[in-house]
Amino acid sequence: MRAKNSLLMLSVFDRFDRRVLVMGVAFVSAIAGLASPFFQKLFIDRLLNAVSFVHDYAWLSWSETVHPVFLIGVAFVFTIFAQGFALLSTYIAVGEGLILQRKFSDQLYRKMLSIRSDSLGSTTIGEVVSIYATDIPGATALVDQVMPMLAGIIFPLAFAPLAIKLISGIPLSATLIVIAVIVCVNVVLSTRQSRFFYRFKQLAAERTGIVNEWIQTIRLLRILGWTESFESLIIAKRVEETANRVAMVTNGQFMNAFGSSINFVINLVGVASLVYWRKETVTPGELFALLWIFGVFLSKPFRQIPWFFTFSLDSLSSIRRLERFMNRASDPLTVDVAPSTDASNIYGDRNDEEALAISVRGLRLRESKGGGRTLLNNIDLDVKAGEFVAIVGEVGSGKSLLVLSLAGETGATFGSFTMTSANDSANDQADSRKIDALKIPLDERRRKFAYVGQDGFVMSATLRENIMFRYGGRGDDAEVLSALELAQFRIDGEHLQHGLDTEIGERGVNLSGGQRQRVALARAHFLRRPILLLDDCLSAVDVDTERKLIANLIDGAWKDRTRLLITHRLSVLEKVDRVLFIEDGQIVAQGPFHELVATSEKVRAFVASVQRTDKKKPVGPGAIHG
Amino acid sequence: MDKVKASTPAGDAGVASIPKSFLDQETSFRGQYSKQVFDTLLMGYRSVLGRASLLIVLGFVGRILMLSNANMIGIWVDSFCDPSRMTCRASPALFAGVTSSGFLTILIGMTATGFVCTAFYRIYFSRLSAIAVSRIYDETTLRTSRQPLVFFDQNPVGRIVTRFSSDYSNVFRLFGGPLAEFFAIIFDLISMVILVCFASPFYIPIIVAIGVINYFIYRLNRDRLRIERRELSASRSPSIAHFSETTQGASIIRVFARQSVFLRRFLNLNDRYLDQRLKTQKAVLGFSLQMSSTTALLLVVTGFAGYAMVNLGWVSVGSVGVAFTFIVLSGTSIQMFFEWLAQFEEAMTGVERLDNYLRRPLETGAKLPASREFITDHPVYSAAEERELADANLVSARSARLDVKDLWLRYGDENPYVLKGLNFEVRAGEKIGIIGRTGSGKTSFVQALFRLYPLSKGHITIDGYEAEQVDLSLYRRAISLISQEPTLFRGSVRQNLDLAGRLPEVKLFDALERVGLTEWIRSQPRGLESPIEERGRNLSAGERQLLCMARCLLQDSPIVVMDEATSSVDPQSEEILVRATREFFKDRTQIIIAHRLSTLDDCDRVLWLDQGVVRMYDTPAKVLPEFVATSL
Repeated sequence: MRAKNSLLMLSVFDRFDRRVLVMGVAFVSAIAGLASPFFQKLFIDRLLNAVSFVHDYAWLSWSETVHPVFLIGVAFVFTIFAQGFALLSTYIAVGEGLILQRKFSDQLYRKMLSIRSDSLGSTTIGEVVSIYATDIPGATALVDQVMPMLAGIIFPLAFAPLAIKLISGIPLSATLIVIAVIVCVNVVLSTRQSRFFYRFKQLAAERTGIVNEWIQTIRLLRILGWTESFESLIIAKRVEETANRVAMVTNGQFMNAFGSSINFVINLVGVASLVYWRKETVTPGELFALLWIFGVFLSKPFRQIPWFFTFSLDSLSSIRRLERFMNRASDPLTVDVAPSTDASNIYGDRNDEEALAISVRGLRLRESKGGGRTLLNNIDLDVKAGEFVAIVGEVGSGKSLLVLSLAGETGATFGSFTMTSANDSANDQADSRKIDALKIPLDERRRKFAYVGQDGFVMSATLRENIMFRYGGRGDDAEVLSALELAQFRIDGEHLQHGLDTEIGERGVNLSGGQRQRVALARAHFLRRPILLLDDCLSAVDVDTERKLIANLIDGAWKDRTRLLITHRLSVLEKVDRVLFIEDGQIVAQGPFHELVATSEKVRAFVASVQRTDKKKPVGPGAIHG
Repeated sequence: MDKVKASTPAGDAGVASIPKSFLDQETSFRGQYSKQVFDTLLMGYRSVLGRASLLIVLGFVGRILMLSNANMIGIWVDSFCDPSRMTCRASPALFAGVTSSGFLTILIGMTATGFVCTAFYRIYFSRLSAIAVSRIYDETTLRTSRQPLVFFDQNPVGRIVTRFSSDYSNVFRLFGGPLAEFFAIIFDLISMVILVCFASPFYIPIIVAIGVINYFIYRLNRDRLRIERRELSASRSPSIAHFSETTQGASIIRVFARQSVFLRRFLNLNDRYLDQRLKTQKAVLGFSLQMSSTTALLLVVTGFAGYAMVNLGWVSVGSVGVAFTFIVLSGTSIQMFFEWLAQFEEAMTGVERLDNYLRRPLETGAKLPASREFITDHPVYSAAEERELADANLVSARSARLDVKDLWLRYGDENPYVLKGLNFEVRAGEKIGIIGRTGSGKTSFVQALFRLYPLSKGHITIDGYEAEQVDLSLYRRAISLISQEPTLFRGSVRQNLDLAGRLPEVKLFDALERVGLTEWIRSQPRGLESPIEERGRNLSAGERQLLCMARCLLQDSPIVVMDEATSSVDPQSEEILVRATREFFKDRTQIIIAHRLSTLDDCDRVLWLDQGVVRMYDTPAKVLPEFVATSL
């Protein structure tokens, strides 16, 4: 609840002096805007030689002595002031809005980086991105749209009744009642409008999702002959969107028609009340002064009132969505994201420690939501320094969650978790080489691990930047190249025209799944971590490359590091030191592969199912290239 | 399916070598819109043209009634005028005997009617307009999904999607709503000119001057505004793309403790966008300031002129007031007119981009459905043809014969041939395997078989029928594809099995039973309506595979193509594919694109492709040993 208040409070009170300045400038603009028609009226009165109300006010007598043209000149100056200040206020407000937007974006990004993947729940990536892309600009509309508007609306509305009373003697109460009625109608209309608007954004996003799927699967749709059916799907969503849009424009156009006609109605009410109040003694000058107040000064606020409420409501709903995301549980440990790393120290966060042994007792993980199904159940795990361990099991048995939990990527709890350095050249006692992973900061624990997932994360940057995993850094190209080569990624063979400078990722060359996995492996090698978590990271490379990767990299260059590899391939299992067989969140069997096959019924069944499809392989590598 | 998708021109690595341009080479406004763009708009509005014109007239009348309020008030005021003290203009004879309450009644009548007409026009015109513009969307969709595949190879997904998201949104937003506003401003300007003429024609030059000066200001600012707006949208996408990709890679970033690197990068990109927003805003405000100071200046001129003319006795005081009111109002209206004009220019660029997709030629053999509304130079099905095709099958038998004669294929005229004169036949019910190294043409053959790319030369016939002789969709219906990397759509299980919803439920359950998913579907609380997330994320790999298999069974095609995964897959998936070849599709003609040799022993014959030509086509016992020998 506190955080909820804070974002709204931040919008209103952050850099409060600037907020005041915005409204102050808008206020000056409003005053100047009111003065302009006033002098126009004096001008007309002089033109008519009318006996003006000026007579009643001694401080205005000067206006009787100047040339009428001077009066219109003063009116002009005020008009210029009014407009100039209005724009100035908008400009400052936009600047303030952008500063706020930067703050919100910064907070959101930090949050997004520290939120654990398992606490995202059913939120899709698209939804998180839309919080950044639409809700943040939406949230700051309170500052850059609503605030300058506020002064432009409130001040004319507050001063108009006074001015009208001053000029034409219409009582305050009459004007105030009319204004109150108009405001009420507008609130109703704009509440409806912002609801339609919300739905509009939602439907457009849903339709874009379908369009995306459509373009990406266009081949399959043709093969299946589903082109027309899929079009119907898109068009059905489009129809729903149009229906909402039609309801929205109906409401919005009524609002606009009302806003732009209101000054005519008010003209009428004003003229009528003037005539009936003052009987037949109205001067043309008085009439026109009144019309100016309405026409020039009030028409803009009346036109803006509906949008003022629409923007405010919309902005508030964006702030609420942003707050909901910011309130999600994230890592209990604060991650230091202060941009302090010295850019020149490019290898600064490498970790050249020697292999570590891992010892875990009582690792448990439950589903965070709902009933809390047990995902990992009381796992004890010991891995020797430099050991090569394979983890096998059915899909969904908990293999990935186990390795992610070690790196602190899940909400898993541990009975104990220690890492022991194998470095025995020093005369340290075993105890001093032992690190309690639960006592050190999470970031420090993570620095012991490299993780390579199935998707092979690639960012929109050059190949070099992707390997060094930082932007802009130019380092030792030889080392980057050797990492790539170990990962079986040869630049000339991969059709990358600009070598290490080739842009890859979303905005550059589109890499295949296998290429991405190899880039991710090269990165893991370049960054040198003592423990390697390899989560099915060979699934998209062809069989021949897989063999080379294991020989040269995983069981070659990484020979001395501690490795945990999730895999499906029997050929790999024969090369590892030990195999863990996981079923339903528990380690049900472990040991060297040949032993396991001999002793465990479950492993035999598993192996048999693999062999059924593998046995017909001819001799040799048994693979056809790609 | 991903297999076929990933292997576009020039084999597997081909797609990787097509760089996406860094700055989208989008269609941008070149100063003038082609006639086509207006044709397209007209096609959208065609069926509502009559109603729309009627509404425009109504809106115009409404606006005139509202604005002439001021004229009436002028006449009314003139009736108070005391001729002994100043120049007066006699009230028109028509209003000679009208009292103050009479004037008031007339004014109320005019205002009320004016409001009703205006509101009616605004609301109904915007509704018609929103519907008309969305018609352009539908028609563009119909044509885009029938584009040749080369089109999708050459344009990154993001660029195509942009046309349907932000370009369309821009058009949709401006045409449904602001267009009515824009016209209302034009009505205002026309009415003002007319009404000022009534008050005093001496003011016409002032209005013309406002128009001309504002136009020059507009021209002066137009290019800058355009550039700033484009820069703004260009600076937006990198930060969004970065946000999106780091959301996906957050755990990798955390494990490698690179949060600060990425945060800095993000803030950098975000700042670039924010700075550009301020810059764009500055340009917009500058434009606005220039126009509003011009209007203020003209107000002064009007005052001077009015003063002089009253003194000269050319005009009445009442008419000075009327003219004053109109000059002030028209100044604002002209300003708004040009501000909207700048926005409509953007929207027209959006229409132009959609139009561009609307008019591209379709893939060879594709036809638009009879229900299409826009008349373009594309082939269209007749309603009778559609009815006939709905239930037709190319081959009614369980299996079909396939003949490939002198088949040549290349992806575009500048590329080398990937298939060089293939000649072979597959007998009805036969099971063949196709092997070969990367770039041998295995995947290209599948693309050619489905006619995803036009054949350069030669023929593929199914039971003697060629795609050109029969209908393309009918031809494709005779073949189905199973990929070891299955693709599912977001939607329900039912939609993923039968998107059109034509098949009876019994058939769906029957297919699920045959692949062994009966238990699974029973365990789903919502049965066939159970949701499937994007790409089937919420299912296990095995379930995905089996569901795609069920989908393939429902296709009931005489020829089944099985595309093995290039990489290692989990044992379950392997087993499913083996079951498919032995059980599900036993009596069909089977073509197995083998990337491993595991499933080939069962085949009747094996086709060995080497650099686009047939190297061997014989029994596995003869082909396989030789193939293994050469690949070592």
